[in-house]
Amino acid sequence: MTNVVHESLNAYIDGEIGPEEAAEFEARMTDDPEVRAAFEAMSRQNLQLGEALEALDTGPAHMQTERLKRKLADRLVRRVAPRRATPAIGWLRPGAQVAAACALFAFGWWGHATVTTTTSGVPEYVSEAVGAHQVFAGDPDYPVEFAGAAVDGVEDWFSGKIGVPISAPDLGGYGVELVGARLLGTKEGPLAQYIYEDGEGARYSLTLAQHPKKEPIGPVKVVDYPSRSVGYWRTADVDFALVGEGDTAEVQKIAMDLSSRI
Amino acid sequence: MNPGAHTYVTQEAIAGEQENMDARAQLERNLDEYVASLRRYAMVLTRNRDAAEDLVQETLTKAIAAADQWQPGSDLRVWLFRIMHNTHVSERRRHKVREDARLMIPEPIEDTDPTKRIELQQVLDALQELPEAQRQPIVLVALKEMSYADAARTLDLPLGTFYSRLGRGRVALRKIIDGLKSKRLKLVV
Repeated sequence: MTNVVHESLNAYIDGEIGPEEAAEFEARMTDDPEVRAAFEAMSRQNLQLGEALEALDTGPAHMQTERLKRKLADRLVRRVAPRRATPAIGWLRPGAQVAAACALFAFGWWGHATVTTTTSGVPEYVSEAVGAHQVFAGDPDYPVEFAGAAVDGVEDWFSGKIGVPISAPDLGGYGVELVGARLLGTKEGPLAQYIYEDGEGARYSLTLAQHPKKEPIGPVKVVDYPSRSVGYWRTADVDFALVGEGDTAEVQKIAMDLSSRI
Repeated sequence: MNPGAHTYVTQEAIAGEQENMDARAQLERNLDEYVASLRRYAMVLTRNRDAAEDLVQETLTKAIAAADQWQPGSDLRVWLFRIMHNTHVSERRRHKVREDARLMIPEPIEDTDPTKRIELQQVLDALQELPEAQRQPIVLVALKEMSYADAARTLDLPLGTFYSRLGRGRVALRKIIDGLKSKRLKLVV
């Protein structure tokens, strides 16, 4: 076969030629068994190649790669959807005052939690927890370092690394079971991540860090990230962040219950 | 904020925030897909998992630094692959990586069907026998349906050159795979 026929064959297989040229090539395949056989062999080879590349084991997700990916998303989103004017600062209008008071009552005092869609201003360990959830909780092959019962055996080691006694809380009451745990090294210091899973395979991660003495403690706050929510709170010894991909209300409920228990 | 001052959020600001969230969610989904393809391409280029991860990270770092140069509406995937390709070419020049470096691509995950697993590994082995100039066009087209024009732009090649490298590469690949198969048959017989 000539090079021209080979080029037409490739272009036909990859959908790079127009309908008229495609019809011409199909007629040629009907008339010439050699071209037909080459087409079949090349199609099979391309299919196998696609499958082989798809099946390549690129290893577990990498924290630094995920961090860079998030940073790139931050930079690019400004170009895709430039922010509109920031909220105006001023005295609340009467109607807004009433709405704000209701919201404060509902989410602040009564619920002891704040729900917000803005992710700016969250402590750095919370961003790390969300990133780590994305990397590990969503990974079906390498989600944890210590699986299931092995977590109990490394409790002292985790506590030593974090600098305060910690353990994996039981979330069986919410229908989620502990899958395992891992330690993460971040620029904020070591973090302990516990991964839980419900009956349908949805995962939650609870990240614990030592509370920096100079920073204030704080009640539960819930922040919505794209496709996931995080409930976080800070105590005198340990800071917590619970990340879930389901309903924000469910994340808030578990975070609220946990914060009152721990 | 001054004591006594309060913040109120206008409908426009809420809509803007929602728009940003939607745009970001879409971008994150696209980036997840593109970075997965970049990792595979990097594995084929570097033949080593750690080196591949380094190449992906360097690509992302450069993309972050050059984010202002990316034109919204243009193909983000092509832009990222082009950065990776240029980074790889510079690295090769710097370190003079040997063309005949031993294949170190880990085996495919596919383990349910041993025959299929062998076949897929044969394709990867054969791919590594090709010169890089032929391997790159083949892999770029195989990875998530990149068009010839996009792949040629990624590799900074005229379309005609791209056509002929792809064509010659695929024919050579077929010969190598056939050769590997007949060797295996001889071993079995």
